[in-house]
Amino acid sequence: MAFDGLRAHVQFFMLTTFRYKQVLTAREYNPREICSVGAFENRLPRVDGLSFPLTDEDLVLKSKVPNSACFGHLGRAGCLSLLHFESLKDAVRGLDLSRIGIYSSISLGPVDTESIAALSERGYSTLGSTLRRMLPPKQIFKYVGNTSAVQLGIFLGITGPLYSFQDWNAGRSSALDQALMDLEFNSVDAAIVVASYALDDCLQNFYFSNQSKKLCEATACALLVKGDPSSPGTELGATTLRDEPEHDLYFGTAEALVRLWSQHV
Amino acid sequence: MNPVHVTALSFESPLGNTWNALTENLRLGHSGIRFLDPGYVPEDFPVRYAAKLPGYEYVAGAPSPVSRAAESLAQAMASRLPPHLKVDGLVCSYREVNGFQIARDIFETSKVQNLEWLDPDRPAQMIRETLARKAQIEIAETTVLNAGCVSSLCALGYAMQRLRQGKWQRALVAAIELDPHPLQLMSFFLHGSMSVGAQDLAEACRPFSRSRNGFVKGEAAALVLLETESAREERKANSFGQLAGYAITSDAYRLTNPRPDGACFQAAMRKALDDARLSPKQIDYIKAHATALPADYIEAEAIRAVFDLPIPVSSLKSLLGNATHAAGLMELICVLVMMREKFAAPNSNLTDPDPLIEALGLNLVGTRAVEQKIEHALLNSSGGGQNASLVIKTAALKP
Repeated sequence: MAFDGLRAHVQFFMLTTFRYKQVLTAREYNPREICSVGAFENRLPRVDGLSFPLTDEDLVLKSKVPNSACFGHLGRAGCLSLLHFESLKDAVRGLDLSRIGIYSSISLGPVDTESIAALSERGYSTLGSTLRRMLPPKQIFKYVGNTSAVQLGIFLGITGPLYSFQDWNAGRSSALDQALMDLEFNSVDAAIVVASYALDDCLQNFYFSNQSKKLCEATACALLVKGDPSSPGTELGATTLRDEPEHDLYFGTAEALVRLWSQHV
Repeated sequence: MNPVHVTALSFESPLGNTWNALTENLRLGHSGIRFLDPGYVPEDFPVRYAAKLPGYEYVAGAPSPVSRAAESLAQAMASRLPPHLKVDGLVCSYREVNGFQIARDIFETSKVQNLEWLDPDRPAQMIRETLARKAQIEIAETTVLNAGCVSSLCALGYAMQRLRQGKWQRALVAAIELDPHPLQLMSFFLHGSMSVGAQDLAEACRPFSRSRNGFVKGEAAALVLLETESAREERKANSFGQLAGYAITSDAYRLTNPRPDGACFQAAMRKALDDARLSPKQIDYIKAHATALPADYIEAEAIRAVFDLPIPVSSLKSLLGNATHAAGLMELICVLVMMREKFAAPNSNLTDPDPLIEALGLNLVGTRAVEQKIEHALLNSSGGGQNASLVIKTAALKP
């Protein structure tokens, strides 16, 4: 996907990537352990070599959002996205909030392993009553891709367009492309592009472990404004972002922004 | 402005998979809602009905239901298009929900399989591969959106913008919503948004009614080809209708409810009209999002604020259920049917209108379809804190 001819200025760019370790190969694991209730409860897949430098509790504290209850209906990638709240709050000050767009690319959270375990252990015939006791009322929002971007918009008061993309392929850069298009054609004055990839889905991690990818959690966020030669910032133009990574780290949905950061900032 | 035409379509809906079946069922107000098979949800499950498509249950060891539907849509589309067509983009709206079933398989069999179907790109890949195999059609770019109820209007908007601006000449837009697993149904139920307890399924979903008590989960799969005027002319393709205007807004209020003042809902409709360069009085029909939740009132009030005119309004959720990620695209096809066949579909269960909504004075279509010439229509989608509106116009060409 090429952005030839498009111009935008990066007002600020924030990137957090977490140290990766090679995931071991699938044959070394007992499948039941990989998808265990313990793994779910700890939000940690039973894949040796993976650890989260930031715990979920750290994320809540660091994000400084007005209401931390929202973390209850977000997957870990959604929690990572909210890390940008504090910086964005300052960055959008003075801008027309109805003329700002949010463009999000995110990996969704893990499957609800606990419910599946309950289903297996307590039986299918009582699934209804089991799930009624187990699931929180806002569980449904964990399955929807736009939840974290909408939540960010709620906290910031942004009422412009909002797009939520869900591509796994490294480097897929639809969110950035749409942001640049909306800027170019004057649909918005500013664009928040946010991408987050988390390793909280044990099934995904297991899947990627067979592909010898080096997994790496990442969240990146950029505030773009329409190109103006006199304004400060990093020019973002004529940049080609490839769909395939040129390095062996895998940042999932955050790949495009991570690569952009490494090229331009 | 470069016009964008809908020039080919394939779909599978609870109201049928052909133009004629869809026309008849929409006109007669037949509901596609059915009781779920006994094996699909256990006896103690509160959600017992949905507007499902047959044949798309999860099967261990087989491609995912969404991928199977993607292949089926692409096969049908391939039969309608000339070979070697160049398509610039494929924009998809769906949510793979296989994680639940795959994890359940692992728990129950201790055997890991089907992990490749976790990949949200696989259904899009299935469309690309099938079109390439069957009709040597090449697709340059692919994008997958996942944004709940507004998702497929977003996908249409994403493609439409690129076509109008000349960046693309042809785009395919796919939307698929399938196989709501028990966990998902229970989550909607706990959220308080699902209709339960209906004895007569034809009356299970009642948008705009005083007695409305939630939506019924729907399934749908749809694929449309969009072409610019020059691309359409180049291959002398007929048009089902034009996409004329599009807008999307965020509420910045709550995930669970729209803004009570409906300001952002109104903004989406106004911006879509501006984008189409049309005035409210030029709209002949409004397809409301209304899912039979309290928010129906907010949408009705927003429509009244933008259109102070007796334009026929109906919601299709009582017939199709709420096919979330596919709702917008499937409902677009329904409105194209109405445009061509000159009728407005009914609000099939509107026997006890909400007095507050009635007081707004909207021209809600009754329980029977009405004859209506539709030159321009507006379609709404809303949910999860977002609002999207699409304006379409008749093609003035023989479809």
